[in-house]
Amino acid sequence: MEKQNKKKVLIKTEKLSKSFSVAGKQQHIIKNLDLEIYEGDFTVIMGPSGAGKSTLLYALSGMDKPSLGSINYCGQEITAMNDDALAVFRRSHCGFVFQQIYLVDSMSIMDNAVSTGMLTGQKKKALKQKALTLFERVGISSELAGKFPAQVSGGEAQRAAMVRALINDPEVVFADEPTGALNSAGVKAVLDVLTDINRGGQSIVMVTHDIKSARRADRIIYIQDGGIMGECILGRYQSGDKKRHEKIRAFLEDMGW
Amino acid sequence: MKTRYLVFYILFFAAACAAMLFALFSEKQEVPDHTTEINRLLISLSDDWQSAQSGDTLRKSEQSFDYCVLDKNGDMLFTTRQDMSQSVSSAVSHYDIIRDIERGGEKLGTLIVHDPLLERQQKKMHRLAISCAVMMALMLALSVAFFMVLKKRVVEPFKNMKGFAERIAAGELDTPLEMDKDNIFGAFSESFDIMREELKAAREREQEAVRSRKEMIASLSHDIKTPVASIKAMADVMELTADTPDERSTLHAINEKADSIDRLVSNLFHATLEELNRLPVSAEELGSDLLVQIIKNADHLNKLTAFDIPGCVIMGDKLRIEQVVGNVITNSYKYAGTPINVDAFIEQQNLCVQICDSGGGVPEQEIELLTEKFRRGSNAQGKDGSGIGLYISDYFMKCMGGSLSCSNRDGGLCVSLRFALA
Repeated sequence: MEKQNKKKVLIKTEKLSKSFSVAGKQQHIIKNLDLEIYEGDFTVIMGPSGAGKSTLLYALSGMDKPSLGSINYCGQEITAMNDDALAVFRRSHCGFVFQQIYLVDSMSIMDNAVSTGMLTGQKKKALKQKALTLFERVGISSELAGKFPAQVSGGEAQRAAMVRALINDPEVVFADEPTGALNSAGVKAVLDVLTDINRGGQSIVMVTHDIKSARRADRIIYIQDGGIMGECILGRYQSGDKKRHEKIRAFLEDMGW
Repeated sequence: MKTRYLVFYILFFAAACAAMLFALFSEKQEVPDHTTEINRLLISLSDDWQSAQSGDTLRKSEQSFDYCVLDKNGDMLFTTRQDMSQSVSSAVSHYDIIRDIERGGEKLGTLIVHDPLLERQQKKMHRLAISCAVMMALMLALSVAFFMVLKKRVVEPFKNMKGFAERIAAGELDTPLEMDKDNIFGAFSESFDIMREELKAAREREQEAVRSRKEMIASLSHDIKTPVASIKAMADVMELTADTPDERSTLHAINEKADSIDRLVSNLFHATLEELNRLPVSAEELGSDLLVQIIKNADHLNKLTAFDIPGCVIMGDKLRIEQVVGNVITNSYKYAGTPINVDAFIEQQNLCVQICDSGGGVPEQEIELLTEKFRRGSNAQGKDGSGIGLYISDYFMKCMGGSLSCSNRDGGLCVSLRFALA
């Protein structure tokens, strides 16, 4: 815990709440959530279905506005921003990876990968060069660049989506169950890339249902009924660490997973 | 049940019966007529009686009917079928044809021709019996189906309604009557449910009326205490300064009666308050933005200065929060009449909302007593009220998991409402 305190706080929420109106009745999905995400951490958010994991992720990343409370991102109050300012902020600071991948079907893998870079006004040529190095880093062949999303496998598509997420060198990558739709080989590849970019200094915030994915975390936060139930601090991931797995399992059992 | 189902059932049944009757009686009533063949046989038998007796010729001739030949003593000579009648008496009882074999007026023997009529009739009876059984079974199945439908469509809704009526009689008015989409009672059961809603509304109105009457009694009884206290005080003074023992005893009596009025009124007040305490409070998760709205709505006289409440989700009952905030703000209007400051912050697991005025506050020794039953500060002299507002507000706040406290600050009274965070 002391070690954690020395880390720089990247995102800090205060009494973060998100409500939806369901049939005229207010439903509070996230309630009074105080959370700190540390810089350079691989933070995993777990919890049962409907606990508010994805809602929290979208609020943290500025994709969705919280109903109440504040989110402070490196000293910037993102809850006070208007939609346009928030969009600009997101483009330069955050990368997103989704379960559903969301590549644009009518664009080639390369065009998809550089699309978010184009939005920040960078030159396409430079971006393409950067994308090629990123392709190598995520472990997909540059030959795929000209193909279309429908022509590549799910794991390759997800890794291409990760290139898209990384093209602007974001400080933090938000991943909403990035491995949910992949086979085991794809899962491992995607997790390896996430671990690798985390080692490179970028922070990761990932929502997952999967213990295997959770093993990569430095810190697991367990969410239930819109609040934090508990957290588990693991430290750096080492492959083949049996104790780590036991610790996670015990933690999740304790949380009533 | 829809009429078309009934019509369908009847038609189906009628069609089944018709089909069965048709099958039963459409069979051709073929009556074989073997008269000429029998005659021919008779002739051949009488012509050749000798060989007929040995049965040789008979075996050779093929006939389309079964027969049996007896000699003149009635003994059987030959038969084409073992189980047919083999004597005249048996033949008579089986309606078989009996012909004598004659030659030149002399009886040689008897020919019995088997008549299949009886068999055919038996067969027919058999078929009739089967048809009847099938028809009965069909009828039974249809009736069972009909009654099952009837039970589901009529009896069960009725039972439902019976249970519903019992629940209403027991005073449980919250559960609506379950209605099937195509319940045959349709509008009927709907009106029952409307009745329940009306009853519920009436009961709520009644409870509201009772409650407001009790509040009025509580308020009145407390108000009576003030003039009684004055009477008592004056009587006290006069008693001390009275000249004659007569006057003294009269004034003493006045004093005593004033005391007893005071006690009675106190009792009345306590009794009504105890009942008022049974006010339902149901806390749920509410956004603090709602609290802002409630506070703004309660400020009819626009005395509030701008304020902000940190965003969070609290536990509370909207109606009760409205009452509490309304009470605190009305108190401030009544006793201070100054601008009101609202300050809100989060402390540990509470949201603290402070509503402060600058009307001089209350004496320190009275602060603790403000939230007690029928307690009014010394500054309440000459103001309307019963002294139960803060008491009930405090009660509501506690029911919602929070608290209410008062303090003097910056030359005014500060009421702190603490709401539990969800």
